[in-house]
Amino acid sequence: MPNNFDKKKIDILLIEDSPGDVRLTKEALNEIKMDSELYIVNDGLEAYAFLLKKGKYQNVPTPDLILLDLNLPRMDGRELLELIKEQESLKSIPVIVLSTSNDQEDVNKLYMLQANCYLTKPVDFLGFVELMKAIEMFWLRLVLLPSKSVKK
Amino acid sequence: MKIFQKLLFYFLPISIIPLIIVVSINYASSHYYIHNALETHLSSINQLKITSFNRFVKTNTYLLESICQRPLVIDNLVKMLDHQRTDPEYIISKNNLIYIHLNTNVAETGGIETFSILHPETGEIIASSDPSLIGKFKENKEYYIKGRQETFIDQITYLINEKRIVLHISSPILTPSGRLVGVLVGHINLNELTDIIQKDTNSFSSQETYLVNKAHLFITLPKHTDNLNYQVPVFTQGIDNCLAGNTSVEEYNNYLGIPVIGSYNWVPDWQLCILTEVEQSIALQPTEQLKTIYVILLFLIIFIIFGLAVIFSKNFVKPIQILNKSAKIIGEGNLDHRINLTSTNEFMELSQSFNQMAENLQIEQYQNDVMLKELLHARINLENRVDERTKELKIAQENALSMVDDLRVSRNIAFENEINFRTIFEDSPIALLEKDASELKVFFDKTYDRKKYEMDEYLKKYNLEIEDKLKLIKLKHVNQAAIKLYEAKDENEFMQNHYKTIIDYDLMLKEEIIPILNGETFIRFEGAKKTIKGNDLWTITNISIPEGYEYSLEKILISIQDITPIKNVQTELKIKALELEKSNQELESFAYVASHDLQEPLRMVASYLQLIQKRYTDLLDDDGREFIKYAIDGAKRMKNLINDLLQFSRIETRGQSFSNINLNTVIEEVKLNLKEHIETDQATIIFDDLPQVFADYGQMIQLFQNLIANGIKFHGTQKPIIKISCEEIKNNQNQETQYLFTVEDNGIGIKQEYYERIFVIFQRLHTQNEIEGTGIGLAIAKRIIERHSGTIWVESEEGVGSKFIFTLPKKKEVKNAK
Repeated sequence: MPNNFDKKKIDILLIEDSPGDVRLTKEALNEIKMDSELYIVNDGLEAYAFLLKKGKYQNVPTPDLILLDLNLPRMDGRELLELIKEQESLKSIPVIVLSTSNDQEDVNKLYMLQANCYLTKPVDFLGFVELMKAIEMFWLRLVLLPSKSVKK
Repeated sequence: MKIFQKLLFYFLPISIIPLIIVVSINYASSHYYIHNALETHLSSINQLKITSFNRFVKTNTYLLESICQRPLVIDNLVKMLDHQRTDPEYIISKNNLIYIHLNTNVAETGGIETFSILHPETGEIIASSDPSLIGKFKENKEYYIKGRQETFIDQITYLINEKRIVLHISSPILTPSGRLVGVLVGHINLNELTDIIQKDTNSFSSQETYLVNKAHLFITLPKHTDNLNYQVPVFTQGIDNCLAGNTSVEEYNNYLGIPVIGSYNWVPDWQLCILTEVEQSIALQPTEQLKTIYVILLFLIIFIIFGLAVIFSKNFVKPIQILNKSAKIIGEGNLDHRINLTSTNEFMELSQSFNQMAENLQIEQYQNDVMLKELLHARINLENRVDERTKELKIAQENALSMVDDLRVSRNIAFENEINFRTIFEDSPIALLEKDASELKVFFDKTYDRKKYEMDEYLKKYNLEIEDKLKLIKLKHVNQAAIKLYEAKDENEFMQNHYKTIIDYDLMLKEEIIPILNGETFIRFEGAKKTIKGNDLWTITNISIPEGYEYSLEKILISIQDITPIKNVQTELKIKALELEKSNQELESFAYVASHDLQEPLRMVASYLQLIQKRYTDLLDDDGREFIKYAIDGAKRMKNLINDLLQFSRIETRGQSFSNINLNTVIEEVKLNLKEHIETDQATIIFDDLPQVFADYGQMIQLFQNLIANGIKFHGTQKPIIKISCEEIKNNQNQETQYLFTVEDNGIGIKQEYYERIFVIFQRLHTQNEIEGTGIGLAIAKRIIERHSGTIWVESEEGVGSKFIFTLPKKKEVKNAK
């Protein structure tokens, strides 16, 4: 089975404005004991700066995975996603959209914008833990991710 | 011989005029050329003379100047000036000058006759080749004054006393240091000048060249004028023009009165006029000869043309004379005459045509005779027929008179009908009017020439006149009902104020008048009017034209039905419906936004409660754990409620477009979705062959899923059986075909008092503990059906089962489809 076991740590960028959700994500990752480094930014513009390593983000790594909330201040998740997928150096990073909305139209639109997958935030914590487990299982174990050298 | 004369008349000028023109041009150009050459010749002779004379003067000037520059001459002169006249040096120097330098240079003929040296200060002649001149003073002479400065050539002078023409040249004698030591003067005898001027100019025997001075006196004598002398002034056109300062070539009479061509030049250096003249008779002799040759040639050609014309015209006229003669013979009536012409040209063809014509004339004359006879015959026939027709007409007139009588009788019958009609008219409960539009009809017929009345154009052009024109319609009768409807006091007031009831004249013209004018006999329309008191009225108007009045429009019957109350209600309803729709939309968008935004905090509450439950459960007592459990439970239910509300609100706002849907497929999909429930409760779902409907596919699934799930959920003691059936019915209101669907279960049933309530959102008949659910399923079902223009209701018997019945339209168009 192809895997990423031999990699030291997975860098995850969480783009989320609600501190409650940030904490929940952290807790859920703790719960499943994922060997990962979690970077957190609170809005779309910050996230974009992080990805382009601008300003204070000059020394951050390129993330292996992006967890993207949709309703963000300043630049919302849809705009950011569009920007990411337009950038040659960023478009290979898998973007997982996390949203409260289960509206089909929202879902369709996000896939049109080339989201790698769309997940609804579960209403309870246990559901959230399950979700994180699933993400880890699929994106960090099953799937072969592009090498970082691709991302210039 | 008319043609012959004409031919000559035209031929001669045609050939001669160009000939004359050509000859004249030729002659003129030759003359011009000769004249021109002559002029050039004469003026070049003048130039030649001037040049050679100049050369003569210049040669002598050079000689004079060269003597002035001789060092010995200068030396001697210095010595003379520096010594007394009595000193031997003075005399030696003087003699040296005279014998060595002056005398040796004197020319025998055609040159400087005398050399003299003048004292630089006094102008005294101190040395000269002519000893008689020594001691004379010339201090006033121009050649002395100018000659002190530079070489000077004086004007040619005619010395009257001596009868000599002289010219003085002078030049200063200067030492190398620039000291003026004398003026050398040369004296030229110009009696030789005549020879120079006359020399080598004998191109013509009569040609001569001479000089004239400003006083009109000859300076050199002309060739042939030995008897003339210098003293007599001469006046000719050439001399006069030349002395005026002109240089030209002209024709004029010379000093002897002989016509000459003369070239004259004014020579400003000499202040003289030089003229070269030649006698015209001799100079222009070649032109005269040319003229004679041309005239002879011209006459010769005219003679030849004349001869040719005579021959040609005679040849041409002869056949015409023959034709002329033959035509005269035929004209006199001799149609048997023919022409015999033996020739191959057009005259032969002409004679043949002529013969043919004569033959045709013969035939035609015969036919004319026959026709004349027939015409006479026909005239007799016609007279007979006219007599017969007159008789027939008399009979017809009698018949017509009897028909008029019949008409009178039938008119009486019509009058009786009219009385019956009046009675009905007056008593009718419906408002009735009778109008007469015959005048309007006449007006339009006149204006529009019976074409189809396309009034749009008319409306544009005569908009202001419409009211006037419509007043040509006369209101003849109105009944009591009409008076009442229009709120008039009596018939009279109504008649007078009838036009107050019309609101829109253009519309009236378009909807009533034009169709009637175009031959419609029945019109029905709905429209706004006003009563005489000015109140609004909404009516249905029927206009009909009784048989027989279609063209005259003398009688138009109008019935008016008042639908104002109905209209008012309709308007109110429309407004209400609009308001309702608006508030509905607002509600929907509110519900959508609210439910969406409510989810976030709710999720926080639920998640963190759960985290507490998970992490700190050991720190809580039983009560605490129970409370948290309820709190989590409540949050979850609230989440469900919000989701349902969201779903409910999306029925209108997020509905998909309609398409043709096979309901059998829909039920199969629902069965799949409910697989778990069906298996758990061992439910059976039975359905007939269901039809296709025009609907939103997703909503159809939701509808049937909610109804079937309800049937399963609210099952009684028996295993649930759900039956779905369909039939076609007619809608009572609009007679459209509909489908009537029934979803029947064998569940617990519903009390009749709850029949309405179950379709209201979040209304539940059971507690959460009994049966789970938010109470939205049926509300959504109802809303979906309403969106599809259908209705849903329930029929039920407690303990036996419920029937959910709903309709969907059969036709494809569904109102409110989004």
